[in-house]
Amino acid sequence: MKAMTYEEARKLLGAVAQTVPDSLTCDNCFRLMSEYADAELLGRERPETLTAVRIHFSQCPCCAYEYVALLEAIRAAGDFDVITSPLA
Amino acid sequence: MPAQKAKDSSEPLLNGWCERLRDGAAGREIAISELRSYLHRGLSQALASRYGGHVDPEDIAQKAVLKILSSLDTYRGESRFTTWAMSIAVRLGISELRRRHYQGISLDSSTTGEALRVTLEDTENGSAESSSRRRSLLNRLEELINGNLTDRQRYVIRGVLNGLPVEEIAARLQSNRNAIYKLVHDARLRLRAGFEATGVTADDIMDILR
Repeated sequence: MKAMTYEEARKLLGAVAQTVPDSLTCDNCFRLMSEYADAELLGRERPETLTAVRIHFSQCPCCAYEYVALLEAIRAAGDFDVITSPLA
Repeated sequence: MPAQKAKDSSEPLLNGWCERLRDGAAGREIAISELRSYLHRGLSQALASRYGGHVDPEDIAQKAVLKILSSLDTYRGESRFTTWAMSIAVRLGISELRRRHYQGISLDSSTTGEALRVTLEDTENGSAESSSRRRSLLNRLEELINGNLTDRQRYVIRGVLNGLPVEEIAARLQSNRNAIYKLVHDARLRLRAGFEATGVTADDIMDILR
């Protein structure tokens, strides 16, 4: 197996130092992600139940990356529900 | 005020999406078309700058619409419908981007069961004491990786260090993202516990790396 470089070891050690217990799987985080996003986008206080999402994001770069992309997509798409909803 | 009220996810205006998208609903095709346009607008921006942006946002939007239509019963109303729908579309798009971006990149060609060595080059910066502390930390890291982790964890850690996302490692191992994330996370917890058992705290680690 390829040896770990010093930079790789630094990266791993940094992640280890910041590791805390995580109660969510990636799929469970995904199920809560839209609620978490709306709290941010609408300026609402997040309920305690969503704290686990923040913890998961801090330890799962994949999910955190998707969350940032989600916020960007929603902001780019515009507030569809107000502007162009077929029921308006 | 109507604009403000429309943003509340509990309003019938937003929950009306589900009814309009169900089979047989009046105006269903229009609703589908508008949803697809909405997703396309968001994806065009969000996917363009990621992993080289080599996917067609229209294609992803269409795939997302199909997935959303088949998943309507899983929408629980705890977020706006459009946020929920966009989360599905973004996940599809990012997954496809990752798949294409990492297509030619494999996991380490070694087999499981091998030890993972840590090179000690580049540790000589700074004072003799700080170099000594770094070497000691790296030696301990190597001991813990090879003594406290499973073969599979070492193998997956190597994949993460190669820059592969957990999702891509899972695909290569015919596993799933949840299982691989848990392997990685558990490995990190074991390493942290191993350091703490010898009196090296997280703060010590960060201090030595500084």
